[in-house]
Amino acid sequence: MPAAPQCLRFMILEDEAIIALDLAGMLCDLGHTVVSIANRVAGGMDFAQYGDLDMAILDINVNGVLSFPLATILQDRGVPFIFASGYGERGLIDGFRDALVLTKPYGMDDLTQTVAKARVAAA
Amino acid sequence: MPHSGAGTVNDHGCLVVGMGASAGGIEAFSKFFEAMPSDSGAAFVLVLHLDPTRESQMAKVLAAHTAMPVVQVEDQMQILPNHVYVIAPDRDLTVTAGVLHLVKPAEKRGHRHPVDVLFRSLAADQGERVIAVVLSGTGSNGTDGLKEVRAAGGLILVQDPETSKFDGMPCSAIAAGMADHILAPEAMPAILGQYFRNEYIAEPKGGETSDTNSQHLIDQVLTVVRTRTGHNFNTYRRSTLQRRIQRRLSLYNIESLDDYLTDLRTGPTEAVALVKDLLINVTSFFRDADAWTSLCDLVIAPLVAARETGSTIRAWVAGCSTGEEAYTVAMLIAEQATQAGKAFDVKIFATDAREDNLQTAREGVYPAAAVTGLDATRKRRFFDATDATYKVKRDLRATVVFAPQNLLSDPPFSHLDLVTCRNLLIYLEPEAQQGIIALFHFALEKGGAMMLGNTETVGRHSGMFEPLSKKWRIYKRLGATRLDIVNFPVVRGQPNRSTPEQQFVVLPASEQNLTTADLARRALLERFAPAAVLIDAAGRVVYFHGSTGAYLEQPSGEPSSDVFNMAREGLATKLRSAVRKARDQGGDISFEAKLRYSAGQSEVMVTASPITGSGKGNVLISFTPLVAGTARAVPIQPENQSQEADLRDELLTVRSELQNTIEHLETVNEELKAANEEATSMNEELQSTIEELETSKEEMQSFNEELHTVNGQLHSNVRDLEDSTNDLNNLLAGTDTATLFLDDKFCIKWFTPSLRELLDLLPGDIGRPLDHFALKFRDDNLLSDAKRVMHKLQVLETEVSSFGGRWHLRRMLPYRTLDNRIAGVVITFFDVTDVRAEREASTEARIYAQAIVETVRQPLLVMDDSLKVVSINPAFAAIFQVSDAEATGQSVFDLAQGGWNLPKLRGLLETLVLDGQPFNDAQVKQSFPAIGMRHLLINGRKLLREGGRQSLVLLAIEDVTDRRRAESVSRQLAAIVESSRDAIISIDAEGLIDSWNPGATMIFGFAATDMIGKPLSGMNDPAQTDAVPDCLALFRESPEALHYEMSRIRVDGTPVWVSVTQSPLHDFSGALVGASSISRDITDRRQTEHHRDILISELNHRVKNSLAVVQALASQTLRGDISLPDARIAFSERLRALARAHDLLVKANWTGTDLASVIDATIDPHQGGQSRFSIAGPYVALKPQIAVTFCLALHELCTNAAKYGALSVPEGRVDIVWTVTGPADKARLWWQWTESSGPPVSAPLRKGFGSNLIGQVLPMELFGEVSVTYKTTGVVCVLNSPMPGLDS
Repeated sequence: MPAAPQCLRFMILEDEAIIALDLAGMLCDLGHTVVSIANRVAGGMDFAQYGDLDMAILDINVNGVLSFPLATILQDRGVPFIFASGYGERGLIDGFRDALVLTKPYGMDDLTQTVAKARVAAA
Repeated sequence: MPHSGAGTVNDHGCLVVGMGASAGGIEAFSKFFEAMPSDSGAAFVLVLHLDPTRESQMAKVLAAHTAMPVVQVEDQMQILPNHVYVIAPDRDLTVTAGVLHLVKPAEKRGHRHPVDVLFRSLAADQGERVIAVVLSGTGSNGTDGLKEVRAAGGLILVQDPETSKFDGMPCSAIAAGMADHILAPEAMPAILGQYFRNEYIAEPKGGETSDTNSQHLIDQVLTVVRTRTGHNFNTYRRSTLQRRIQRRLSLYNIESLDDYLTDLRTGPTEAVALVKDLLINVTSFFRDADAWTSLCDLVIAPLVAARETGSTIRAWVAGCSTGEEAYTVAMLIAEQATQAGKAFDVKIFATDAREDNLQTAREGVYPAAAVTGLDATRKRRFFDATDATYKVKRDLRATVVFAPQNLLSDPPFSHLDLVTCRNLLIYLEPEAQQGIIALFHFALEKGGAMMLGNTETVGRHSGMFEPLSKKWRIYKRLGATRLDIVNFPVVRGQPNRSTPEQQFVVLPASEQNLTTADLARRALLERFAPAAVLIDAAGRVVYFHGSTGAYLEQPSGEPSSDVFNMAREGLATKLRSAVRKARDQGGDISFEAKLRYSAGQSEVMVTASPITGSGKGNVLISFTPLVAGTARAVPIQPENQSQEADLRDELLTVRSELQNTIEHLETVNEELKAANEEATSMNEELQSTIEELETSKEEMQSFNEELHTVNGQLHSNVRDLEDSTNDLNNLLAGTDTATLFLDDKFCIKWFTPSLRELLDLLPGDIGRPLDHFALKFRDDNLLSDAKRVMHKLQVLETEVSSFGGRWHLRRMLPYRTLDNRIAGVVITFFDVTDVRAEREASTEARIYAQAIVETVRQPLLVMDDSLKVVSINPAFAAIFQVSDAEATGQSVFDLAQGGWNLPKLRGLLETLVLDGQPFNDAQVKQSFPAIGMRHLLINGRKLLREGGRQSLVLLAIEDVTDRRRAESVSRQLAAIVESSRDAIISIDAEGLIDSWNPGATMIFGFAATDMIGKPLSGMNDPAQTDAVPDCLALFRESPEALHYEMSRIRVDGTPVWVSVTQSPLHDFSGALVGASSISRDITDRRQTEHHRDILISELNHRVKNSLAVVQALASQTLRGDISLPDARIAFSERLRALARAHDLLVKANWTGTDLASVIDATIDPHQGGQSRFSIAGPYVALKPQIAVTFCLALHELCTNAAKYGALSVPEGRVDIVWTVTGPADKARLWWQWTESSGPPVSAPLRKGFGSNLIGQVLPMELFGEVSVTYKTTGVVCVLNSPMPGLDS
């Protein structure tokens, strides 16, 4: 497993708890820290606005609610984020078409590369 | 001579005219009274048949026709002159002593004869002054009454039947011979006026003209009557004769007897009329019923009782008139005989002087009125009832012999048991009456009875009859027959008179008839023989010889022929005994007797010698005077011995001669009797011959009537023939038909005037041969044709043209006579120029019509009125594939194998034929064998044809099959278009809408009226980016249909997606005329597609999510230090638990499930076949995601318990309980897993996936808290969270 060049603080917005835990596990395996796991968009908005985080991985459809408002907050704060969705890029709406997307199910490599891309993009 | 008329004189001297009428009477009365002066001095009593139930208006009605007062009669009204009296309804009117009486009629309605009643009472009241008038009426009312009027010597006027509205009553009166005058009613007053002034009426019963002149004249009248009719009225009562003759004078208004005598001599009928008047006959059946009852009781009953069956009963009805009295006697005898159970040979001689009466009597037919007096039994027994008459039955009729006989002039009958002679003697002089009584005495048997009329008596002959009933003048004959008093009528040499039975006619021998011997004998007898008398058995003197005056004398009183009565004193007793002895001993008995005279006395020797030869007990009594002194008996004086001997010899001679004479007489007598018998039987034969002759006469009369009728018919036939001839002449002249009759030689027989147009003929040319004349027409075959017609008896017709340019139909036929003989040829020429012209015109019309019929495309069918095809036109033949020849003559219903036999058509045709009711556009749909299903429209008309020819039926048929089919298709299409939910729109070549269906309205909301005529492109959605193809432009290039989808704008401005199919529309020439545009609303489809996209995307997301979960499960399972086999087992079990959770959710269509179900599904693999779990808790709904998480967490608890906890030992148990608490909007779930009876557990050293799942994932999902404690009894896991689903 490649060592993480930098430990990043991650926020996870995922309504599926198992997936969220697994993602958290993988991020931990990559050397990152998961600072927040939100399983509802509303529940994650405060953290997105005010939390101390480096990057976020957002499910698009969170228990029926699209996560774009939260993403917009992150975008406005300059916090890089990655959409993780079964829809893939097709699930994106205007304004987020260039956002990074992890298409479920994704493996460790996908995660690593996308996080890396996000870091590059954010740099 | 005093009068003793039947009637009495009206006290007032006022003449009463009785008038009777019935139907039609008012008119007759009116005429009568209009002509009748109002001051005639007479009174008029009118009787009519009035309705008994109604007030009579007669008086009022008649008052308008006379100046005399007219009153309806009231009872007890006095008759006044110059008045008219009208009978009251329902009453009989009688007159007594100048007073009118109203009587309730005895007869019931319909049988009344009020006129008879009036006439009878008038006749009785007025006597010979009575005047009776019979006017119009039905029936015979009045006739019976008139008989009495006639008997009374009254005047009878009868209305001329010609002038009567109903002639029954007048005819009846005339037929009965009652009418003195037969006149029209208006002519009667004149006759009456004369009659009123006449001496006969003016001087009623004015003393007998005693001057010898008129007596002489009356004698002359009687002489004329006797010579003319054979009736001798010399013995009739002078006064009666005078009145009757005067009456005749008055009838004819003749002034003097001289004039009448002249009339009588010259007039052919007056003598007969006078005889009729003089021979009065009034009679009826059982006239004076009581008299007949007495006769029956006193005479007939004893007679019947005394006689044996088979014996003879003889009766004589003298003056029988019309026979009623004779039949009455016959009936009585028959009745009594029946009652006594005996049968007699009844012979009733009925005589009358009037042949016409006898005629009636012989016929024995009487009007119903005549027998009204008879009870029903008699009517039934003795009469055969016919319509209105009664005919005497044959057996009764056979007992009566009718013969003409004048009592005064003809010999009588004899040996009679009964003589009746009623109401005859009264008309005779007393002398004649006595003669007749004596005649009856002679005619009757001893003890026989005689019946006279009520007012008649036997007169001075009372000694000859003993009265049996004084009241009814019934007498019994007494004493011996007194020939001396019978004045036998002299038989006149009248060959035409039948001689009645003459039983006992003694003709005095005339001198000339005696022979010389008889003369000598007689001289001797007178000279020498003693006076003697011959007596018969009864002691009556039958012959006197010599002078017997000395011994016999007529005693005082009636003359007698009884010798014992006549014997002088002293002789009678001895004589009686001598006669008896002589008879007993059969020898002479002599005795001497002394006779005392006034002058002295003498002695006489009386000898009674029985006349043995006669055998009748005749005895000759001779008287020989004895000389005084020598008056001894037989001894003869010696001195006179020789003389005495001579005398004795002589006496013997004389006696023997006498005996011879007697015998001769007896023989003659016998012969006479035989002759009489013969005469009797001949008489009977004659009677029957007469009857036969009468029958023949009647037959002849009826034959004559028939001949008259035939003659009349022939006359009428002749008239008819004349009429026919006239008709025929007029017909032939009147018709314009030129007719020519040729005889068998072809000569002209007859021609009509109109023939002259064709042939110059004059009436004088009749009889000339036809070929002598120039024809005015072209006809070379006229004569040859005539010959042909004659020989072949056929009718020839040909048309010939005249030179005038006209055409004639020449018809030639044989002239047949009634007896079917051919007597020539009849040629008629009908001008047929016009007919020809019409024929040509009609031919033209026919060709014209034919051409139309042949040309017209509609099938036409012509039938006769029995619906047999007469003709079809080519169109019919073509369409229905039948030839004219096949169709013609067939019934229309047999055409096309019965294809036309349709009930509907049949009904229409029957109505058409019967009522002429035409029909139009009758629709018929029928499958025809040759051409299949056809849809036809049929018009029917009846063609009435002139001249009574059969009418035709025309059917015009239109085959509308194709049209119907097209219509049907178009209708179907229209229906489809109408009902389609697609918008079906058509546009014309300019792209403008010209049809718009409801579907279009439904889809686009626009109404058809708003859209038609507008461009279709007007509905295009301006927002639509894709170009709408220009279909018309495309269709000009290619006819291929276009399919595309587009959005259009609805009426409310919203867009609607439609799928459009457009096709070109071409006309028959292929030119593009427009396009159809079918638009289907595809909004739903598009939404579905959109939804489907969403679903797919969702599915993709969910699948990928699931895969992410699986991936997480896998990575989590493999994380940590776990052997690969264990990991594989754990992973597969976790996958299975996940699958079970998915199963549950799929069952619920991924809408969620409940807690108990999740628990059941999860623990099931861990049960191990035993109930090791106890589960209790309320229903709690779980969303899919929570359900999955719960399922995975529970699975980890179970796996852990199985590995290390309670489920690792058999006795271990797990209790799962949960409760829900709190208010609904803040409910909380408390859930607990408690293991027990397992091995002791302890918290694991390291937290694996299971612990994470329970400890982190579960609380995260449920936003609750989870605690897991490891107790010694086992693991306890508690969840406390908000109620899942309450999304806080």
